[in-house]
Amino acid sequence: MKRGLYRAEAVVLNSLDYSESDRILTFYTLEHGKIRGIAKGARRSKKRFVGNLDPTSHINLIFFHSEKSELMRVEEAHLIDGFNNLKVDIDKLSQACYLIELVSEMTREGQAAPQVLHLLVNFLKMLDDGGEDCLLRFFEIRLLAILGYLPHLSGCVTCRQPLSADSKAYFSSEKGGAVCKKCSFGAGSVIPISLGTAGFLSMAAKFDTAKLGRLKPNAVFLEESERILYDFIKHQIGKELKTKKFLDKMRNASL
Amino acid sequence: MQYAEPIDNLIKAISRLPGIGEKTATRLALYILNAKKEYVEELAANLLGVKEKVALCSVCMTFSDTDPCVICADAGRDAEIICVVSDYKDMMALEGMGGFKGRYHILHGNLAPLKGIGPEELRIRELLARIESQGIKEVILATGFDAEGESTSAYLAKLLKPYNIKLTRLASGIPVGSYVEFMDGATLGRALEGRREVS
Ligand SMILES: [Zn+2]
Ligand SMILES: [Zn+2]
Repeated sequence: MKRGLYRAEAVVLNSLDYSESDRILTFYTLEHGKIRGIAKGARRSKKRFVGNLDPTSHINLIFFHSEKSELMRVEEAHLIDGFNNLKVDIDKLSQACYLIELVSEMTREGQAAPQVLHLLVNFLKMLDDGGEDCLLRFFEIRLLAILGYLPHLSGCVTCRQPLSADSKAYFSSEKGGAVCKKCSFGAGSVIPISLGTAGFLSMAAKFDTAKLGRLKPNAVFLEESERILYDFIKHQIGKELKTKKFLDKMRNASL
Repeated sequence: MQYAEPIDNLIKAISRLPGIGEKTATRLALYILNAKKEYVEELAANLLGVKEKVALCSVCMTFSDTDPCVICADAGRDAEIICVVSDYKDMMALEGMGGFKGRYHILHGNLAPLKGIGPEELRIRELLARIESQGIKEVILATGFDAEGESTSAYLAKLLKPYNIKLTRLASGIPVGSYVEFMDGATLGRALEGRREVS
């Protein structure tokens, strides 16, 4: 990027207080992929950024970039959608935060993938409209597909034989897909996967986003796919996600 | 040329304070180095003093050198109204305004999925215990108007609903995204005055 003023469509991925008055922000933009910037006066000023820089906000961003600084300078942020239903429901908000942390961790600065922004905006909107828990699973598989990490699910990733209904199948994050019983030895730690879940995930990876709401997965799918996909994601990024821990905490909270 | 190790250690320790970069930390460390010994002793004693003498009030969870704190011990204040704030700074901002005659409850944070801060990390259990045992009539939700503050209030509103007490939220009309600590007294006063019941 050359020195100058830029415009971008973006979702706010993270916001950290920096000094008494500033904030450091991470965005995913349509035009430039993931970028980081500083918003001067964002903590104090009531007029300039009025809540438009809260994580999950969908905005039109105007920023200044100079070669001298790793951080671009946020000049203006105009709200396209604040997804305000999310902000008054901690369960929905934490699901939305999971999506943005996932994007933040799975992408690198300097690589633009416009589909990632479209996917993120679509799913934030669906959550804001009251979408179901299975949306998180669909988002995970779609994001993996867009970024080129889609696990192999149509057969055994090692011997390429189709998975059989008579014998158990497993998922290996290390091998990057499903493995048959024979190949599961030496495939690292494996997680049982049913044929139904494998099939459903392959389908969800390709399905038209607008029609995802029509897919009605069962409880086995929800349970298996959550374990499998998170294990795979953790393997890819090499660490736990804070928001995943938060979701687990909320689920088990006695409060 | 490097700073002597003790000076370097001091610079590093100071630069961990919020909003202080290495330059400012160096300036402060050199100031301390050149200052009178009595001043440095006083500073060191005060630093330790806040950690040793100040603890949480067992009622409202605020920082205090007495237990209960001055506000909770004040019989002239209405014990049936609790104003729930995110942190000590917000309580001091509301208290500085002078109009509020109830008591407080300090959560010590907001729910924050991106930082992994859930209900168990906040002083919510203590708030529930107070409501269950002390005949509370009204709870004012006075967390900030940024996303974390709003979702924390929404969560508490849902959690407190079964208790059959009056639940209010600081008035809207305050800019979205504002922090309680940065509001001026007049704005805060109007927010408190015009608080609305949450359903
Ligand atoms: Zn095999
Ligand atoms: Zn107290």
